[in-house]
Amino acid sequence: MITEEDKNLAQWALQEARRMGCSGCRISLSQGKESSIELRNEQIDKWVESSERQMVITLFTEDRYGAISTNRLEKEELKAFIKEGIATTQLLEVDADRKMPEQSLYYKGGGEDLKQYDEHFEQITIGQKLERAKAIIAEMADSELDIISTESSYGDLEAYNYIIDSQGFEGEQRGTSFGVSAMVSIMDSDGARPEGFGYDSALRWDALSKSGIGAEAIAKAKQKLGQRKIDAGNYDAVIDREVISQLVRPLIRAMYGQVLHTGSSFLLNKLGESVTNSKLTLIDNPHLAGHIGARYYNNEGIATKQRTLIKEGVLQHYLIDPYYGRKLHMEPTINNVSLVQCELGKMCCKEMINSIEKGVYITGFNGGNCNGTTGDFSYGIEGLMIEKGVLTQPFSEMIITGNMLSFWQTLLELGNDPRLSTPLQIPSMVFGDVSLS
Amino acid sequence: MILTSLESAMQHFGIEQKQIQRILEVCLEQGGSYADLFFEHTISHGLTLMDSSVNRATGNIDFGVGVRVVIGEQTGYAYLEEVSYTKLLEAARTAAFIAQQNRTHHAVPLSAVQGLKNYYPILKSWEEISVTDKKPFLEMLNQMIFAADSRVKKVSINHSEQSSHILFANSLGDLYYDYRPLTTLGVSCVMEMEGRRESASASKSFMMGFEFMTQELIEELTKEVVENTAILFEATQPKGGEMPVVMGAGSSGILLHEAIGHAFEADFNRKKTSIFSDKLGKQICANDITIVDDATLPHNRGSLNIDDEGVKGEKTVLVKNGVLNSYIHDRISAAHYGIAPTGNGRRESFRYAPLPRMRATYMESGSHEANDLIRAVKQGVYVDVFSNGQVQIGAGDFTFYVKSGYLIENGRLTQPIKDINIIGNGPQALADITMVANNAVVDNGAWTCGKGGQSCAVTCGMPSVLVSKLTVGGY
Repeated sequence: MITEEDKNLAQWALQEARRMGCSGCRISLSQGKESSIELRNEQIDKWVESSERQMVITLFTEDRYGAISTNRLEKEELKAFIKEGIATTQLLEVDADRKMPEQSLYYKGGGEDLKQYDEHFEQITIGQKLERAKAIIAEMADSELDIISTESSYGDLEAYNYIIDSQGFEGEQRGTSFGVSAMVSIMDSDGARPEGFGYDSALRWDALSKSGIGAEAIAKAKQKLGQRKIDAGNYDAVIDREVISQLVRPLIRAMYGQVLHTGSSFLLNKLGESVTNSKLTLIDNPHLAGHIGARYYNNEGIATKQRTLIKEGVLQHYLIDPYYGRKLHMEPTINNVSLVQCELGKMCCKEMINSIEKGVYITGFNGGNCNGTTGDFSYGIEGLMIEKGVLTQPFSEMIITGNMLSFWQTLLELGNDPRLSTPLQIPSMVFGDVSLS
Repeated sequence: MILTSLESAMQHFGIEQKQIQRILEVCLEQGGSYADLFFEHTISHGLTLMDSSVNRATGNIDFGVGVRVVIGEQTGYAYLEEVSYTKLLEAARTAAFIAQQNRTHHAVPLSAVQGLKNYYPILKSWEEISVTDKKPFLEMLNQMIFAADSRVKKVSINHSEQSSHILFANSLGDLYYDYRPLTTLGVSCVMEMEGRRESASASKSFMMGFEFMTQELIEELTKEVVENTAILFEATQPKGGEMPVVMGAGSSGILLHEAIGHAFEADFNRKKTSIFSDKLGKQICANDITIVDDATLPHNRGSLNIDDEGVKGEKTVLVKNGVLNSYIHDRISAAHYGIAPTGNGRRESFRYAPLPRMRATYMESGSHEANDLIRAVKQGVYVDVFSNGQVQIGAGDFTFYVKSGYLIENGRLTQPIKDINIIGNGPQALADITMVANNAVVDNGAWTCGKGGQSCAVTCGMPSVLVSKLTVGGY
């Protein structure tokens, strides 16, 4: 945890930076404690225990900017490090837009507890952690399958962060997280070794799934048995909630101030325009207590707030920090999303599959990329054919190709099934007339 | 600061040899069969040019030690960010908990590893260099790119350098100090023409000191990034499907890295989850194909004097005349197979236990002229600029993303193409290589490989090859 001694060290570093000539400075002190256990075929494969801390020092000096970080926190070393950082920063070119954030943007405090911390973190024993991982392995015993390997993992993290700056901002956050995963590798009749994966994560030990993760991995591996290529062509496609973020992330990345400033965003000059089908409403909802990603301020101390990024297909906001706000002559918002949600549809994934006469159900992406400047993309995919509303032939080695702007216009339906234990709470979706090769 | 001896390295980390020996003994008290200590002090600096102005500097210090205990194929690991003998003893006991056996192994008395070669000697240490020395090179690169093409609208340049001081000891008695300098100059360029924008990037990375920064380097990067961006205005996404693919020499090595390199990593093979796990000693491709993973290329980004578990760098022949000759081993997998490790035990930092990882992975030259490969294709694609790739180890399906290339029509390069994913199956793609050219090149871009949550610097290379069929993305 952040002690008074730690806070005094951060204050001391701030004062030293000011004394050495910084016009502005921010100190962010982070601490963390982690443990993880990995099991393979019922035996511990790897066990890791660690603790770490780091200080990030952001320096503003006469319209110049530098950022330095270290895990060497003895005062004498820190002093020399700050001195060198300032000297380096002073050799840079002047950039008049490099200033501390406007204080009016800061989080002012007073928010309710966002329930990011489990008070019982210290009380969870090694035995309990091991039991969780063992239970997952036990779930993956399946006498009908030729199982090559079963693996499970348990991991937890306790993290603290303390930020102060020379304009008087002070913030302290703490959080815990817990995660479990399962992976099974099975032998297929053609010599391929398909893998299935399951996971869960939670902010509290009690909220972590106690069962079902191993079974999820087995089910996913089974779905891959007999995979082959299918005919190229245009299909309606149901994209599972577990992988839909592959297509949402390029949209979010294209909203960042940095790519807008460099002209390498396919959403440049699109504010107020339709960028997706009107069925999509995408919201950054950072104050949902008890959800992963919730926060009141970012790494600059800037207050988060609920923002509808895309409303019924129309782009409402970019993600712009104060620096790029000045560069772009735009009002700053925030530099990144916290907890993204969609307005949901009415059907679950199974109902959406049932509604398709002929199409594909995409359960995995394999590589590929999106050109952030043009929006052109091409991704490897795998999944199952849908015929008359029923899942049939598993497929792999197929490629989905398109352009983000035109692709998102083909959105037909949103599901009602987002996974709630991630910061991108996006449901399964149906797209029409998707080009596969 | 380059430490000149093991003694000075131990002094730098504030530890004595007899203390290291004692910590290793404690590591083995619970029955562990092997233990190592990995001390690391890495100093990194970054410099950014944006809007024709060098206006952002970063710096980082990372310091700590990792303690590993192994018993059979099981690993206990702990790390600390401060080197204190007392805390290291505690960490050793934590890591040793993995064993829980009623026997004690003993650590062999430590002595310096003999006969180490230096594949990355430097002329001028980064720690002697200031922003003032580096800035002119970034400015020159920026000016040359703007001067090369009037369509250039934005240029972003990032330079990074890091100096890692590694002190290592293990229970086999190996003790070494290694100084690892790594530097990268990367550039992105945005051009605009008739309302359309296109962007591309290029990078060069070596294990070198400040002598890395030369006018030749700037000229090479300028040419590469300008050409890679300009061609995109003429390029389109092609009609997709299964077709012959000619992979250009150099960065096409991504095919090796993704299609087979990961699947050759011996941790996947000892667990039998790799599609190559029953193919050792078998013919897996044409007999004129030889593939190596090499730690000994001078100044190469993937080179290692000695790996992160005390095995000297070597050139490992993975495929010899078409036969799978060796997997990529760390100590655990080598013990599993009863062979000597290949020096591929690598870790991102002291925070991680080592894994079998690639270094510089490349195919050696064949006998064909490069143009003969293109002439041999009636309808297909030629690809030579890539951004990223991925593989599914068990299924063997791999992909790599093509930033640009050309259609091949009737044996000639015609329409430029861009932004397509190519997908194939590793063993099949390897077997489908029908022609290998005599122009092998190792690409010196800033390739970074991710595995198990860890990143490692690697490189890849290849002569031009013809793969008779791969699935090419497109409409």
